[in-house]
Amino acid sequence: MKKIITIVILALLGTTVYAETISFNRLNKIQLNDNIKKIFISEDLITNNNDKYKYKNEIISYLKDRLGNSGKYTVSVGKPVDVDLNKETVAIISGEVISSGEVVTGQFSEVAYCKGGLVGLFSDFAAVASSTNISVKSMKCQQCSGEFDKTTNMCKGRITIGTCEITCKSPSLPVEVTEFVAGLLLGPSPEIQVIRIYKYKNIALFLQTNLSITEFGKVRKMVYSRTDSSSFGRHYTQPGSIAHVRESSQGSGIILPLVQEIMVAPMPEELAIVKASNPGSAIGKWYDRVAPDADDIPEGETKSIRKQLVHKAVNEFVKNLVPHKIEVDIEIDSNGNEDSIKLIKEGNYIDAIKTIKNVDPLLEPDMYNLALLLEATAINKDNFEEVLSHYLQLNEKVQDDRYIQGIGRVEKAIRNLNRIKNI
Amino acid sequence: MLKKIQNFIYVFMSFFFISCAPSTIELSLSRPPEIFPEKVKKIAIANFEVVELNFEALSERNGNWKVNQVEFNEKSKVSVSNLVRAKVVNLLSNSQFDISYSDEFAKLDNDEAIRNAISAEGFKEENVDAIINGKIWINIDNYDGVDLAKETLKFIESGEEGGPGFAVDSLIFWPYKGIKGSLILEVKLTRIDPTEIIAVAVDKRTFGYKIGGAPPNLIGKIKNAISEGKEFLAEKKEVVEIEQSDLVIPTFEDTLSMMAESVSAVFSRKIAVTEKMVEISIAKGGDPLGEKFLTAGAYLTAIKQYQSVAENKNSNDIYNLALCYEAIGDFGLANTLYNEALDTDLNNLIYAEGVGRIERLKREYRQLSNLQ
Repeated sequence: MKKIITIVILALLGTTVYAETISFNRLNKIQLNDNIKKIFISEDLITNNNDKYKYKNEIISYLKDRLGNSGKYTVSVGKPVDVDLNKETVAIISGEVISSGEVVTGQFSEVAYCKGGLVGLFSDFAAVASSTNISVKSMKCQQCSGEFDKTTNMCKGRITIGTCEITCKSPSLPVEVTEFVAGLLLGPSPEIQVIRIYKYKNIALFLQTNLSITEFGKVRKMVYSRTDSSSFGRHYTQPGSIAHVRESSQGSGIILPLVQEIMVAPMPEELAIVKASNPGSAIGKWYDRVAPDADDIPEGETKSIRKQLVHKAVNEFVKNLVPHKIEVDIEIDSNGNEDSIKLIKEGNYIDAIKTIKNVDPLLEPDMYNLALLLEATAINKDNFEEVLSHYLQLNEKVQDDRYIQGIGRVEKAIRNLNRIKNI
Repeated sequence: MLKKIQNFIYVFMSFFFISCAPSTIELSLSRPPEIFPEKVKKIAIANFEVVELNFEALSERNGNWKVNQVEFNEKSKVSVSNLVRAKVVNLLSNSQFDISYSDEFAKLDNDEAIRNAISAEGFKEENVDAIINGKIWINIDNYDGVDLAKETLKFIESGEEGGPGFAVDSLIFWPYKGIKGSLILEVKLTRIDPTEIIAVAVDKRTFGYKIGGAPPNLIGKIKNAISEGKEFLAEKKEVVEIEQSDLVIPTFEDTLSMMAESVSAVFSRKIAVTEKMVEISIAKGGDPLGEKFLTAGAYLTAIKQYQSVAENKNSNDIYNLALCYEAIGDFGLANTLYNEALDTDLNNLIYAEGVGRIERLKREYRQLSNLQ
């Protein structure tokens, strides 16, 4: 077993790639009129009649920051005042914000797979990693001593009852695969299936922005319009609400105590089990009262979720209008000049370029790092052509997949540049 | 036994997805419009009229169904109309047309208002060649019910196949919630001078999502595992996605937005040049460096590489070179080279697919029809 774990760890270490996060420039796809230097975001022109969760101000603020930070335009919130539209051309952003949300509570029945021993422990990790609900149960387990009929799958010997502790998980691929592999390595372990019920609360949020940018000057013309939406969904299970209504290890149902505690007419036990899983029945309603409610989103997290929703609903509109940066995990050559590598890690690309250009003789590792930095800071076609020539030179000297990937990336960037829609 | 077979299938599929990943490149191919709206450069967007908007909440307890009709006020209807209209504008915004999305045209509520406005010749906005308007029918049901189904539970003492164990059947209620909906969208493009309807698209989209309910049968479980497996093995995306859960039903607006996006694409394809990403196979067994350039998307460098090894006359290299030309939009050379590769091996499916793609382009694009 130890050998297997060692081999797995070594294999994982062997495949580790040491990459650095580099911030790359990406150019806008829509080119506004060159004379436009000012963008106005008019609050009156962004309607919010159906903005139930009041995202409008956050969207305006996001637009102002992102467009303003590009350095390409002066962005103001409000109507274009002190602007002579006969002499100057400006752009105005207008649009609509739609937001909605729903909170839904309910009850689920599910079949859970329960395992004891080491196999159960391994699959617990997989279950936690895949956010699968786990319930631990100390229970009476039946054991068959004597003859077991493989044809009928029945115990023909004596059935004895012992105590065992099992952990039960919702079915999911990671859990199934882990159990399968763990079973192969560790051997068999008891397997019990249960039907359990639990309470949940679902929270769904939705945001849509319909944004347009219009050129205002001697000519009034809408230059670009875009609609994007974002949504959030979270499923809460209240762990305390999980109740096993039936376990395969027991001949009888396990909800008998539950049935006895409520005032219902005597009924066959099998029927009581059935009713316990029905939210409309007397037993089901009783379960409603005893099961706690699931939590809402913690207050501190709400801000972060709103931020993510706004970002996704507006980001593409902004990216199409102004250059932006993206972060890419990419391998830098650690055999290059140490000072320049330090500067790259600090994000100081300009000084790193200067440092590498002073290195003499300029060998492949530094040439590659230089090409990478020039690619990251490129803002026009000439810059990309220069980067391409660096990668091509490198690849002529020594063929390396990193250089080929670089050539591919830069060729693609040049192709995209040629596609920019010039309004 | 059944579970072991399932487990085996899951593990087999995982390895299958990893080992059988085909060597392909993703190309963006332009698709010509079905109708060429001649002399139309600037299109204004009028109102999308909400003809029908039904939203019902249905719930069942103990066999009794209750239906609650959700009422919409005028403001909500306008919002629904704008939501759908924005999706149409979104797709046309990147097309060959100039799109005008102003209040002047948004006020044109229906066909009659457009006819009146055209006959009055009273548009403030200049050079508008055509107007798009639409009609929307929406039916969405939210339902909350309970399935009743039998489930067989197993107990295996040792976990070993054939080991001591037994099975018990249990009848259980399986609560579920869901959303079902349909959106019918009629979009019309009307030329102003001469006044005529150039294109009409009427299409329907349905949407359904259910959480909970009775567990699926074996085939359903395998289908779920396949979709889950794809997700499980998918590459992590660069952008961190917002949290989503398969156990959460999308909101009314989200549902509407998804259906509107899908149905708008039909109209967009009718009148505008659209782009489509397709996966195309690379031929294996040719020049390895050329193949690396091609896979990396370095098409121009790959062309130079394949030209430098042209004397080898390797049909895979000829096909991959054609692929490079197709990727950069030189369909003439791509056509010649695909045919050259196919001539060397008429049974090669990949080569035939290349010839087929260009043949289809020739049929679809009139300007390409004179390719040899």
